[in-house]
Amino acid sequence: MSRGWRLLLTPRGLIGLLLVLGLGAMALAAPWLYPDDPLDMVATPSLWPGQDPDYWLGTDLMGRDLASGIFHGARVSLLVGLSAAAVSLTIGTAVGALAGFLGGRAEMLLMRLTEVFQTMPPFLFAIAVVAVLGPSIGHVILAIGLTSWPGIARLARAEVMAVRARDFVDAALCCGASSSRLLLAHVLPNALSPILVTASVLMATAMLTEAGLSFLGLSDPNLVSWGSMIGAGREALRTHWYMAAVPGVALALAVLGLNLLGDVVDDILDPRREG
Amino acid sequence: MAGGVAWLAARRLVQAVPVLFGVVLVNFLLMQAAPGDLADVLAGEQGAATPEMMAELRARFGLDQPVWMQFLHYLGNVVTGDLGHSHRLGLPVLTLILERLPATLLLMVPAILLASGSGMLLGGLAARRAGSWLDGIISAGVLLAYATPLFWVGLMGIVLFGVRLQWLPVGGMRDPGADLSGLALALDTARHMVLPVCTLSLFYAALYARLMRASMLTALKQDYVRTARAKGLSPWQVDAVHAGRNALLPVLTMVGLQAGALIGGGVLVETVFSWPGLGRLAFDAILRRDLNLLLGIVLASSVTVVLVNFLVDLLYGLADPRVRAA
Amino acid sequence: MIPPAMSRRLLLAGLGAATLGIPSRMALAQPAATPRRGGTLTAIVQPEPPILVSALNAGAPTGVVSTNIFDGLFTYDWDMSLKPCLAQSWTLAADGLSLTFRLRPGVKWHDGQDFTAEDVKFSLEEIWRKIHPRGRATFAAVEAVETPDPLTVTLRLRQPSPVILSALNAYEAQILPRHIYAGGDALANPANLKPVGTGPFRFREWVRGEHIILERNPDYWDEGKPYLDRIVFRIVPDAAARAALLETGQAQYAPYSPVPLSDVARLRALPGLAVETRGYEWISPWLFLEFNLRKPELKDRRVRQAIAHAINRDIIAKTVWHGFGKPAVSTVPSSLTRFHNPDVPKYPFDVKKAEALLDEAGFRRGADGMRFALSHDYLPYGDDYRRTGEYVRQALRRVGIDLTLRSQDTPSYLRRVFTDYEFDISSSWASSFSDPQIGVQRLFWSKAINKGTPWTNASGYSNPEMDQVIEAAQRAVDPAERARLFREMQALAATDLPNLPLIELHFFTVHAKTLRDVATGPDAAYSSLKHAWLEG
Repeated sequence: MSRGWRLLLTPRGLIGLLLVLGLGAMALAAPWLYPDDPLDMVATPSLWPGQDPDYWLGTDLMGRDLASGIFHGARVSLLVGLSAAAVSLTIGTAVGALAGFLGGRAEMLLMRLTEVFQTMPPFLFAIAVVAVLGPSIGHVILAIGLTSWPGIARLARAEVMAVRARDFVDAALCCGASSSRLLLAHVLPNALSPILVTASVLMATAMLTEAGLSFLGLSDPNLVSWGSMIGAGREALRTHWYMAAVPGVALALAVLGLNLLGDVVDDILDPRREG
Repeated sequence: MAGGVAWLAARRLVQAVPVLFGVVLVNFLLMQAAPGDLADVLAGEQGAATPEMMAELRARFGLDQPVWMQFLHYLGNVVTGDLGHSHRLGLPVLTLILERLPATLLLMVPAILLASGSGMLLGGLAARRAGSWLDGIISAGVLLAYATPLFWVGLMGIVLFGVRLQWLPVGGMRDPGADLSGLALALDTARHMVLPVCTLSLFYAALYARLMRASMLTALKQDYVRTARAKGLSPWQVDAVHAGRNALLPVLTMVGLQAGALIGGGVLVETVFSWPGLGRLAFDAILRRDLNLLLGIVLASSVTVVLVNFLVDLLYGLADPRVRAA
Repeated sequence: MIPPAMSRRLLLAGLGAATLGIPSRMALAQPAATPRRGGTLTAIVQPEPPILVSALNAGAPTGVVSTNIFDGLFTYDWDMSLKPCLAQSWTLAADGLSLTFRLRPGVKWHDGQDFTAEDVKFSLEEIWRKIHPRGRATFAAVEAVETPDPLTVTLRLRQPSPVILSALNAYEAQILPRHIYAGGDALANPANLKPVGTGPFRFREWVRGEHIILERNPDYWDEGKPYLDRIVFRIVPDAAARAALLETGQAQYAPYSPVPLSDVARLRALPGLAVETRGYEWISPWLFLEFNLRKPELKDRRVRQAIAHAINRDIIAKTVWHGFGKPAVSTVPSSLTRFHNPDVPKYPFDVKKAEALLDEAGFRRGADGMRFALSHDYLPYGDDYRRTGEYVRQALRRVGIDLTLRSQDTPSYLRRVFTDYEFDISSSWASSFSDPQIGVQRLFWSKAINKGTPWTNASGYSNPEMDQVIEAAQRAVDPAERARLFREMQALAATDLPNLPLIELHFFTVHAKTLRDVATGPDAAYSSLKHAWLEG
């Protein structure tokens, strides 16, 4: 554990941890700090940051408080990141682990399915799913999850196959353990840690994808996300660049934090990378 | 030799037929599930319609047929090499795709080359000096590039280089007003390429740099590198030739995985820079329910993925003799 | 040539608008300068048109390009009177049952063939009436088309149909070459992508996704015109990129509100650019909320009135649309001076009144402060419409209506609103055109309730009295009587409130100041650029 702490307490680890904790804190604090709907028009439109102390991050073209949007947007971005990663991990691990464990014809079928989804252009597929279902937050999450699982499935399959080849699995099989029990009790837990490490990258990618979809106009109109704020601020890019810059910076910092933390966790779990 | 490769490539495509079938089926069903059809779109964009017009359009496009018939009909056409017609644009899908293909390649190929080149260089450098200030700067820059939304970088690039400094054109692939040809056209196109290619490659460069740094770090600790060092080879030779070549493999794999993004991934950059590529064409096809056109592009993209992965496997063989043997 | 017995004769070629007592607004705007010949104009068209023939695709982008290649029989003057184009004059019989056009002699198609009355007859019978979405209705009363000689066309009408006179320009009733289209499937004709017209510019090339190039027609009948040598229409999907192109002078002309509204003030302040809102009067677009009267809450007129009172149209015009709109009073925009009715029942912004009406209708506020929940499907045509929806949401939540926004792409929207009727309140826009019969009546006429057909009566509103007024207006020959009937239609509409007019939209064109004579008529945005010229 001391090695883990040492790695976490490097500048990299600390910055990552702080950024991710900050993201979480903002998401939790949003309803207390800004109880009103962030979509409400509350002040003079196009206030610059610092111009009015009540609206320290300024207001957008419609006179909505950017600070309120940033805090509530943290909730949405976090929700999208976490849920999309969860969807992706669930599908990916299930498909990959089953394929790796079952082998044979089932494996071939499952991996073909994975290939189908991997072969389709992912962002286009996400656009199509959102366009077909309608851009509500749930559908955006589903679309991102549906397009990002094949990588996880391949990883999960490889890990499961590696673990399965180890002695303790054979031992368990000899003792008469059922294969489903074996998969859940022995193989998966051992294969899980490298899969979880990629979760942080998945979250970060999901948040970026959500922003890209928002930029193309495919976002939930009832919620404020950082992506939709950038999309809305793009209109005023030349006159009030801060409207797109503020959520853009927030998004970049959050993605940065998740990646840094992911790296550090990766290092902690991978003893070969010491030093 | 070349014939052999072509034959191998063809075999790979035939093996991929079930996957391609799956891709077409998934997208076909997805578009069938979409509310509204091409007749709605045409009525919508004209701002008026009558019931007779709607019925005529649907009959014309075959939208009044049962779904399974439409699918079988499409499959039958594809098997004979006919990707169908874009009813909205009045042209064969193949023509539309071939029209846009040069623009897509002109954007994607340089972007991938630039990204993989600079990414591997930066990643390699960072790994060699792991822990130094250089590593810190490269890693921080790479992460920042990775974390910033692409379209945002593009927009900022337009504002800075296109409008403020006026060094580069704001968008498009060439200057349509001037009748250019030959070298002048090539130069003009190159000028138009700078911003979109750099924007697009930024993200991929970051991706490759991260990957390269990680795999290079692993490679540098391998026994054979230590052996090579002990043999007295210069550090540059050791790193570049031995460790670098091995670190290349994961990066190559990544290029193969990214192939799927090759055609579709440009949507955002194409939008920001008015680049007439396939991504934008596909995006419009989705929003306009131009089923044949979308299926055609997705199919073309999937074939590209299969072929690129084939190419990556070939390169793998060159980079790692063990793979070739197997 | 024209028998004086045929009344109501208008020949405006040389007389100009001045004889009608309406000063040309163009003349007021800038002193007449001598136009200069030559130059390439780079214009922006957005989005990319699917084909280049307006007679076969009535969409706006097609119109922007196509009207440079094709002519109509007439164009329109500022007072919506007809100005000669391919037709030199028109005469309407006293009984309103025959309409005769005298065509311009010596006009040639771009491929060298002669333009004749047969082209007009063919276009009307085979294209406008069979394919054009509005033409089917506009020309429905035409029983026969006669061509006594190559330069005369007479329409025999089943019943008087004055609406025809409001739809005769190159956008709404484009003349196609019979020798290219006759006998074949017009919608599949390759000429739709390489058009052959009689217009001031000839088609040269179209590189999809990039640009469309037109070149000056040296044999154009209007001698000396056009002034420009070439027009390049660039296709630029992103609004910010369009603004940058205009700002840097890489494009000089962009119609149809090409840049974000919030960016207009900045562009307008630049020394080289001008923002023009004229040239859209002939379509006079307006934005409204349409209520689904099949829904129990919205069936109650008091609820609809309450919603009308709860919405501040000034905020929509000023803040949401940055001043590019005018609060709407009636369902026929004020720019249609002949038909607009300013004295309809009004619903000023009054939150208390709105609350009282909702209480009266029996919808009291619940524990959460809300009375009932509705959804709002806004028109998916961009950020301005979304922001309008966001304002409406906020305004209605204030009076206790829990409004949820629903976003979707255009086909989903059309399917939901016009086929499935699965909506509560939608926002929509309509082009009025210069005659309410073309653009407005469909919203109130029960015969326009056509499930499955976009842009028909989606509210489900049906009132026999309204139907009577509308059908009488369609047949009325006397212009004054016709106008009176349409004013009555507006009063009824404002009383029954199946839809709520929000604002009259002011579309705009951004162009370089060096490009002169851009807005030369009320349909300029849908007309050729034959009058436009570039300063040297």
